[in-house]
Amino acid sequence: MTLLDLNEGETAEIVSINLDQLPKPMITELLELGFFPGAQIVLKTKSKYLGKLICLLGGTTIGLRMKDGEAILLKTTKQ
Amino acid sequence: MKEKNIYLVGNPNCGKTTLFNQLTGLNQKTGNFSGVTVEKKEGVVYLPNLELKITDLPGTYGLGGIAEDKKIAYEVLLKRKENEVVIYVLDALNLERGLQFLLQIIDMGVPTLVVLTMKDVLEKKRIQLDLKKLKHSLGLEIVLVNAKSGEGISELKTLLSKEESYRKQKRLWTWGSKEESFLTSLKQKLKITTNEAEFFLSQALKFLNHDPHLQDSRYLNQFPNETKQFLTKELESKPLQFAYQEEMIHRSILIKKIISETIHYPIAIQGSWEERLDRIFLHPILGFVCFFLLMGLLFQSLFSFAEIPMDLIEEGITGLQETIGNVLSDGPLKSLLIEGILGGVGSVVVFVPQIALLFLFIGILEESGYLARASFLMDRLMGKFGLSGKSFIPLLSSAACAVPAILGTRTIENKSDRFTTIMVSPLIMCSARYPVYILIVGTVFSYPPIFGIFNVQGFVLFSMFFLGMIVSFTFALIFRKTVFKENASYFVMELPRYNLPSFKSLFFTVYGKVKSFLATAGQIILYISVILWFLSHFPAEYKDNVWKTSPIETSYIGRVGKVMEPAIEPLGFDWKIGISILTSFAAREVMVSTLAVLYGSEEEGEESESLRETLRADKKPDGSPVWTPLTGLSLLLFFAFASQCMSTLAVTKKETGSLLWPTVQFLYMTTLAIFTSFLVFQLGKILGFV
Repeated sequence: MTLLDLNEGETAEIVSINLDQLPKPMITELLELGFFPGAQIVLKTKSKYLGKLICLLGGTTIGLRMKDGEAILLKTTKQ
Repeated sequence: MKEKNIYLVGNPNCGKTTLFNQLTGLNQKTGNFSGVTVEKKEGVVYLPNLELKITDLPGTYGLGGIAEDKKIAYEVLLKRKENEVVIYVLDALNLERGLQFLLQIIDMGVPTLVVLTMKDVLEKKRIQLDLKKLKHSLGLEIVLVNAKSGEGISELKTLLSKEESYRKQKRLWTWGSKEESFLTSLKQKLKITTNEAEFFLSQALKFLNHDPHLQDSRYLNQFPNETKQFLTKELESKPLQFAYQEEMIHRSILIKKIISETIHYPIAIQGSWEERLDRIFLHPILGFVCFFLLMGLLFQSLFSFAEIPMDLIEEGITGLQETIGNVLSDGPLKSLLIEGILGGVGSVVVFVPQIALLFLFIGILEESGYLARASFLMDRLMGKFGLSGKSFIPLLSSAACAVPAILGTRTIENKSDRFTTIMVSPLIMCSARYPVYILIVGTVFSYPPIFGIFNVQGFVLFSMFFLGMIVSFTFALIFRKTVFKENASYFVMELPRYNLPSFKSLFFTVYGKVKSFLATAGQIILYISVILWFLSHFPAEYKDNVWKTSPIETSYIGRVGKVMEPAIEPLGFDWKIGISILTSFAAREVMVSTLAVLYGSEEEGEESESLRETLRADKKPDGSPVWTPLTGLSLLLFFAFASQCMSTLAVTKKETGSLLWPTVQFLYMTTLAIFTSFLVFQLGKILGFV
């Protein structure tokens, strides 16, 4: 499952980030923003018209492109 | 306490700048970090019997960042001297991410004092924080403040003066058990005891482990050759995971523990009003409506609010010119002071109110948390032109001035995106173009309002703004598809909490920006004005105790103008316009003062009706007017596209680190300007609009 597959309001745990799908500087940035394996992520908004995802990670709201969300692999967790 | 240099460190949006402004007030200066062009903000805190120098380092999320400003924060900390310490600004509502970076700083062995901000929000949201426990868990001194209101600042100041407030701490988190025991045995073998040395060792191990986030060999190179070989061999034989990602995971385990022990949230952090605001500002339709309304308000107020102080400054300069005129006797000195220096520098000073307002607006948008939303909103559109939403902020601030806009591109990690943004920023209509446009539009498009309401001149100005945007985006796409092809653009951005801006902090920010604008742009204008004054008054001769200067036609610059006239005639320009174009290559607004000098007008300035009337009355040798709407249009387009700003070229050179890019920028923009003006004038002539 990827971040893109998550429904609005759902929580999941990050398993890994597909390194081949994203540019290198972006991966470092994601990591520092809190996207590392084991982190809990909540998908807040999926905006098709803007092509964006908004998610919550450790108290921070982060926006990213939908297609990049496909590179973030998740597993569901019980809330 | 011994003399100390303090670095202010923290995540972006943690309240660091507000705290810096609160501590240092007006005792600030901006410069550059040595060797690079990242802006360095320094200030002094005056304490009883003690002065402390504070440097505000760019906000960053960690030590792995590759954007220019983030890199510099890391380099400064890495190369710090014995007497240099850190105040770490920790956002109480973003402890998890803030602690990640704080733990990295601790690992480096930097003596640190922690300032926990957002005291007010903690109280408002009824979040309970056990400060004593947090101090104990981190082993550091922590002070809770409200940077905006100044609450807790006096306690902080007391702590600042004490040596024991800045504490070094051992690494608090642990690697996986295999890595940890390997590291312990290595440390024993290599006799490593300090944090600093351990930090270098772990960085070297990450490098040897081919960590994609650490491809820097300098840590390893610090060790003697035999140690290097030993480390390489040791790592080869063991499947150990020394990587930045692993490190963050292990830190996060500790952070989760600390947070669960020290902080208790009664309700969800995201307040409902914030979510409601986001639903409006990030709505695919409403979001854009709000954005354009805000921009409309911005431009409207730039013109209406700035008018009064601008008039006052103009009057002040005229008054000063008159006073000097009365005191000094006629001669080159008087002329140099009045026309060269005051006339030239005055033409920049007049724009200070507008520039201050623009920086104030952008500051409000940034501090309130809206600017990140605007980037988010614009990302899709920018993506169509090969850029990301991050380029949007610098491009928007180009509407004030391309110089700070180009400096602002440092936050863009992606080099191709950054260079493209630098190259196209000067195409956006900047404040230096306003006086030129207002003069041209007022001279050639003096029609009554359409339907009695729509002002034609206003419409032309608005169109020019749009034209600048469209052309700049188009060229962004061209650059991105040709020269800057590598690294696809990407977008990931924190959407900070909405915040009421601190007006004290905004004031200090605007003050600092205006000061540095005057210092840099003002200097260039001063030099150019003096040179221009010389070229337009000389050759001169000293006869009968009187200096006799040349009339403009026979002055050096007049001669040049006459020579170049045939070349610019196809664009619809005569020699006087030609000279004003030539001088405006230093800075666009010089065009207005040049024309004023050339036409011998009494009053200078873009609002001067007499200059407009003089221009309208100017005739070609065949009796037809020089300033026709077609010439005006051709001239507008020329100014829209030509690269006429030395400061921009200089800053492009600095930021790209090469002469190539300012040269390309100058050539493509100027070619575009000549080509469009030529095309429009010739087509207009064929169609009979002369």
